[in-house]
Parts: sequence; structure tokens; C-alpha cells
Amino acid sequence: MDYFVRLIDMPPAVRSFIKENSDHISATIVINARLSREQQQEQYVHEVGHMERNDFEKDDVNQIETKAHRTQKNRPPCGNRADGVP
Amino acid sequence: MYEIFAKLLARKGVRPADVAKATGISQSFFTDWKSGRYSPKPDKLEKIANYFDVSVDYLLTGVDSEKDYYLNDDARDLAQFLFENPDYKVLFDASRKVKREDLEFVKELIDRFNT
Repeated sequence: MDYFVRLIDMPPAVRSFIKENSDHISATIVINARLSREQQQEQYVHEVGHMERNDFEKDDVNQIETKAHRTQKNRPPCGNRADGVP
Repeated sequence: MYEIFAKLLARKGVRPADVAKATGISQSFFTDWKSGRYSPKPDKLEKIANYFDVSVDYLLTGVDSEKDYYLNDDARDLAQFLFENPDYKVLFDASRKVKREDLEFVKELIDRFNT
């Protein structure tokens, strides 16, 4: 799987997203440019994790994101980050 | 807390020995936990929670506060639409409090990608 990464200014509540491309062999990861370098790298790991877990084959976004955050180690619950990012 | 673990064992149809083997936690740990001689520390709780695909919170309390990731129904509905729709097919990492209008921004962004 090839990943194309873009940094774009987005609302603070949206840290990143991943979109399967129409060729089905690549995906585009868009990361909020407002984040720090370290946070941007964390987001890259988070989004690649979705592909590794085959999350696009599942059904419910609630469960997908709950599990993604549960399995991402050393990440505090959303809304409780020490750096103030929501 | 062991009672919650026992319910999870029954639900999944496994024994403590199976959990021990899968997680690398010793079988004696589960015996000691059942007898009340020992309470699991966070590292073991996390391994056990991951095995059953539940939150540590659920293991401790029996209540899963993470069941609904998105706290805003409108945002959740739009996130689900953007996930299912083949023109978008997107997954977000957003705050649990994200609003619908924040995801509308992303939708418009993708619309621009697609033109």
C-alpha cells in the first residue's frame, strides 16, 4: 500500500484523516498542519494503523475509532491531552 | 473485578489458561486473582482488556464509557456517511467532541481533491 501524505490547515478538532484512493492500492493521509511535528508523526502512525487493521472492511465508525485509540499506546483519551489539543 | 473477568470468559467461551497463553500472563496470577490474594496492576489489566477487546474501564467497572466514540450525533452520522460512501471512503482521527461543521470542512476538502 502506498501512502500519499498532505499537510493541510484544518479545524483543530480534526487531527487527520485517511482516504482510500480509487486505485485501491494507495491511500491519501491528510494531517492537520497546525499540529506539531511530533503530533503529525503520531497521526501518521494512527492513520496507517487503520489500514493495518483493515478498518475499511468494518462497519461502524464508532467502534473503529474506539478500538484505534484503545490500541494506540501512550495516548491519553481525546479531550484530555496535556498539550491541550482536543 | 474478577466477576467481570469471569463474565468475559463465559462470553468468549475460554478458560483462564487460554487467556494466560495468549497474553503471556502466568496461570497462577489468575488463580491468585480469583482467590482475592492479588489485584492486577495496569499492565496486566491492559493485556487482559486487549485480549477481550474491551476497555480497561470496562474491566474495572463493567461499564464501557468508550462505546460511542463520537459524542455529537450529527457528527457521528456524517462520519459514518463519509466512511460508507464510495465517493469519500474516509476515516478520521478527530476529537470525540468534533462538530458536524468540522467534518463538513473535510467533506468539502475531499470534494476539491476529486475535481
